[in-house]
Amino acid sequence: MKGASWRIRLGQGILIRLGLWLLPIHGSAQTSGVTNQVGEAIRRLKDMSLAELLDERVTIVSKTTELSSQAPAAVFVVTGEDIRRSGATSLPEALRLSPNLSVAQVNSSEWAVSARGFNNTLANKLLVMIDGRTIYTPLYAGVFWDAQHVLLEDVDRIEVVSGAGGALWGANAVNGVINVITRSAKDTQGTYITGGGGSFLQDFGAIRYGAAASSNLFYRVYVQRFDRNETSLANGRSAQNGWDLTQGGFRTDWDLSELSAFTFQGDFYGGTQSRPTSSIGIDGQNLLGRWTRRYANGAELKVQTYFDRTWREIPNAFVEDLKTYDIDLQHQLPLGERQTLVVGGGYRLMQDRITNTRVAAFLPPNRDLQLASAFFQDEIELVPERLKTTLGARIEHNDYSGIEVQPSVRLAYMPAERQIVWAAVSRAVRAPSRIDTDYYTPAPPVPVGVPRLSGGPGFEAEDLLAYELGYRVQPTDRLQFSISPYYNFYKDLRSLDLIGPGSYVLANHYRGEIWGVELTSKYQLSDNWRIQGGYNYLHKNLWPDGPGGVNASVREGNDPQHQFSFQSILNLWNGFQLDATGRFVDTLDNPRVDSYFSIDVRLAWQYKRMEFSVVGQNLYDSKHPEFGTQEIPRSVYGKITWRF
Amino acid sequence: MWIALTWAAPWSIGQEVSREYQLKAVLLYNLTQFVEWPASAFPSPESPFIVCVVGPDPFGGALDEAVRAERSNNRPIVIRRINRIEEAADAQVVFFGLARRNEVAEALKRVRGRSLLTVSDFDGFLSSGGTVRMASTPDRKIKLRVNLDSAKASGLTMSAKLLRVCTIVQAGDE
Repeated sequence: MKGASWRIRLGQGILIRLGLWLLPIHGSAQTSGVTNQVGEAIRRLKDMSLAELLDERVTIVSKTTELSSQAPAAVFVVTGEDIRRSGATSLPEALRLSPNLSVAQVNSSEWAVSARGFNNTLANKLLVMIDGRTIYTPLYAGVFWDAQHVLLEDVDRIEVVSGAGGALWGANAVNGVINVITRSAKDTQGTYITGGGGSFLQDFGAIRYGAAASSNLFYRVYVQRFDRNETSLANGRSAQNGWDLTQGGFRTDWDLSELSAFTFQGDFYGGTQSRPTSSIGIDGQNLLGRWTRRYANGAELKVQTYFDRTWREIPNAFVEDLKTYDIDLQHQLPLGERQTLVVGGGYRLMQDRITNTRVAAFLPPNRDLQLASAFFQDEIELVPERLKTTLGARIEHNDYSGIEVQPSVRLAYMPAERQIVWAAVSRAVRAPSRIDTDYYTPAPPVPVGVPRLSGGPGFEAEDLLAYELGYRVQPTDRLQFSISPYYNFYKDLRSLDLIGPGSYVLANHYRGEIWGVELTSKYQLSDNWRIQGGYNYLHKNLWPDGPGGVNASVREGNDPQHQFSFQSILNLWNGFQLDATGRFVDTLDNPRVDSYFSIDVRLAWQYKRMEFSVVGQNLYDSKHPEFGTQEIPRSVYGKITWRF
Repeated sequence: MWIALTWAAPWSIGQEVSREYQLKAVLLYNLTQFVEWPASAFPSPESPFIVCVVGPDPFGGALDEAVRAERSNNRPIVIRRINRIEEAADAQVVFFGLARRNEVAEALKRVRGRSLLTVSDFDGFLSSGGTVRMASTPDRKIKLRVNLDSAKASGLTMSAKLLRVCTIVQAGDE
């Protein structure tokens, strides 16, 4: 069937090679300092008796910084410690520690990552940020994961929200939001040196140095590098796709005064991915500045701006040079006793320059895409300590589909200490991207009789109406558990419409629903042993909406019905650590990938400031495919780390 | 209780400490006033009263403000920020910030038996051998939870006034 062959071309011929990433940013600059106002507040507190102090309500945890145990959303936090104890060697591997995500390795350098379905190497319904910088390609509204690296040693935590986040974060926060947050330079002082190698991750090394330039100015610099081996094809031959990457960067955190702080950071990277006949090259640079100002009444103003350039050459496909300029503001202010209002807005310019080939083309090759948005969120305590509601909406303008409005209503009820029940209804959209409207394969002019596919000039945003519930409880200090069922209804999903003999165009003639439930838990069994993990159930149903619509799950997501994952962190004696992570992923239907179980084990020994570890990955079987047909091998690596 | 969400702040989830830690700073100061240390806890009669904050400092200056010009056990109070528990050899109070929670059990083992008041604000601290935990409640108040066995083992005497407003817990309950 011709349609099928085009889907393959679209999915594998070109785009699968794109390894993209999408998301945003995030910062965790810890502002410190005491102001006159703070001094006054302290004096006032000191005048109070102990009993009075303990009766004082702390209106803080600045509402925007809710304890996750109180957040009315399906959130899982992966800590830096979880990552270091897992043996993860890349960001996608670290994301596997969040049970509400679906992460599949496609080959040596490519991953498919999504939440709540629609997973694909071109997955386009997830928003990802690294320290507040959205890592997104307007080529397909997704993420090139092979270009997104952080020094995992310096990660403070990764916050993963599954569920619609469009009201707060904007277009593409459809099925979930990932925030990768690195530690403040204040918290990464000293030297860190690590290195090692193994069978799949052949060699790697990193150095980071952090120090204080003065009493209120802290910085760090780092550089890291790795070489990775090849995955194998279904016939057992090597895919000849080894790759390497070198990356460096810096971060400074500067307390300008007691109430204001400035963070400035940047990274650069370059890498090569082998292919049988040629190789893919990538490089990029980014710079970000964030200024935070607090006010005595509890209000807070933030301004953030960044520049990101990324370049990629995929031989026989295209060369892309993308420059992104972004500025965002956010103002949070208390309104009376029971309300906190957050308002903000942003502007982004993406200058995308494509050099096309005969195989495929983005036309016009050069586009300047603008995105402007404004949002508000109001959290209202209806019954103090018991019932609160959060109303929010984001209005956004993009060059393809114009104005999009994404509202959300949340209601949270806290029946007792350490319990929360919440419900939410949200709309979120996936804004059109270049592949939806500007993509042509083969590049025109196409001789008569040759099948062709092109983007649809009238392509609209994909639209989600999400209904969510959640219950989170901490029966004891050592145990927490959450359950989050959801029902997502999608319309205007991408379809492939037959408009003439052998001629297809992308349109919005598909609908669908996905429902499921996520369970997560963390359990501290003893002082030395913690386990955490979760289970996802997902049911997907898609159907055409209008004549001509074709949409095989192969293109819009290949999702397991059941997924189970866990992490165990165990301190033995004399500085020994024994850690494990494992996961079961159910069968993928189209194209079929068999279900698999996989386990990673890490054994480490800490001796003074040195750490020696051996990590075995994918130990359960000799190799297995996770997505597509390439096989991910069982592997092992050793690592030595020195912190001083 | 693991912290942090980002629900409202697209890019600033984890920061702000402010009011919560102002209150905790004053509570920590209060602890130094309602606990008595044995004379053996101090290297010499002239030694200051030392409060250590291990790891990233969540108080951001509020603690310095709270103890400014104050005394405890008749000695001037000094705040010291340290990275390793070994640096608290001559201290009387140690506060562990959340960022160090994973190392806390090991650190507490090393100071066991010393006349040291250990304080923190995260779950599981008391069962790891800590003495006082500042626990947050859902209605945004702070509760003091005290492991008396641990206090006794350290040779510390807590005043009745303090104990009246604390929740006494057994290590196993926490």
